[in-house]
Amino acid sequence: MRLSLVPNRQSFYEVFAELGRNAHATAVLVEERFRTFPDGGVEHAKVKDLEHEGDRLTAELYQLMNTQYVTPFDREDIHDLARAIDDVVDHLEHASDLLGLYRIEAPMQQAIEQCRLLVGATEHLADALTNLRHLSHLQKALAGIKRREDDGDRIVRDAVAALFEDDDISPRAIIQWKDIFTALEDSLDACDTAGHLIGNIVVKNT
Amino acid sequence: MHNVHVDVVAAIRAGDRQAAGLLDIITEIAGTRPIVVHSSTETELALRGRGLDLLVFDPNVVDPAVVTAVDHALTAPIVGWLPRRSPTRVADLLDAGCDDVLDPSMASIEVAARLRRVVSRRVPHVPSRPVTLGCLYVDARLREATWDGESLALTPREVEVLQVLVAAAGQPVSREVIYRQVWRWTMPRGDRTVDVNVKRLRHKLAAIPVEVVTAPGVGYRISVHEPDAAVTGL
Repeated sequence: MRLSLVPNRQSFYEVFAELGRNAHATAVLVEERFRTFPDGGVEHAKVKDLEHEGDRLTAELYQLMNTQYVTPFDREDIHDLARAIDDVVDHLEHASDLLGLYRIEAPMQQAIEQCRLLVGATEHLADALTNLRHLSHLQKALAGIKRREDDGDRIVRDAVAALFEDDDISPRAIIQWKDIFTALEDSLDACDTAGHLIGNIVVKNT
Repeated sequence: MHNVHVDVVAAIRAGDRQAAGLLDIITEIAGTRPIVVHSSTETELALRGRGLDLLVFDPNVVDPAVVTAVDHALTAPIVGWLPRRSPTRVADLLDAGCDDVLDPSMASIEVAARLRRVVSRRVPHVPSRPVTLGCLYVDARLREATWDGESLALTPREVEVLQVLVAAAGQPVSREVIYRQVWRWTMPRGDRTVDVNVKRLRHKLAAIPVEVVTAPGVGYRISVHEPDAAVTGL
């Protein structure tokens, strides 16, 4: 593999922007799948396709990192940010998969709320990643991610509490939904992590 | 009882003063006055065609054998009431299938706790006898529902939901009660299982004059658009 001495910053930014758009598209699809489950038309395979696309983009980014002598910011930051975005999509895909795997009969309202927050958070994440090259005007997007993560914490606490409000709630439902709430919460946490990493990159490079 | 309406029939002796406190406790727990009956025949009539949640009975009023022969008693919790405590009779009633036996020597707080436990632990099932409303016939045991003799293509879950609604004879039934009777657990807050099944039912019943109507703030009720539609247990 030959190392290029000519910086190819443009490609880094383009791939990050693509990763952001892919994460947002995944969240939109998963939200629709949860909201319309089980009668909606969103099959898990479509979500899986987006996850594969995310993997491909992440691999492309790593490839760029390995072939470019000069990177737009620290390699460690690029690696961590790419991994956080990948986690956003992976956890979304996992939550979507569990609906089928656990033979869920109908969604819980709290999970739909979590998905809505993920749509908002990934929209802001995609926005921040699109504007990464400028390293400015990112605060609004980062604040948007943080706000949704805070709301997500509140919703997941309420969601888990709802499962334990009564001794006579099906243990099966508790196991199923606790896993799904956790997967969606992990995705939102990964969004927050990505937001923090972008914030750090801005501080280091301005 | 999770703030849901609980249907209770109390078969007690007329003039049983000690039972007055019991009825007050039941009212507080159930959120509504129990239907009070004073004879074996009245008890049978009160139990027919009713989505019963709890039966409290004095064995001096109605024979335990009669109680257990009534279909609903096989699924709803049964509690014996002894105006005079007798260990032998307590044992007999428990052996006969009662979930608990109460008597006036118990403090109100104990009676209330026992009743709450019985109702929350024992899972009422979908009425196991077929019910009809006009031309609509539902038999959850056979997983069958028909309109005017024509079979309706419903899943077993949908048949059970329909049977709960038909058994309520057009009265609203809360989502929590439907869930408990069909899925046999307490419905977690935020669960949309009942709504999803009702949505499917509505779609499948669209071709016949039967409508599952939303009762705002309560749940759902069944409506049959034909003259003189009356619910019957077969």
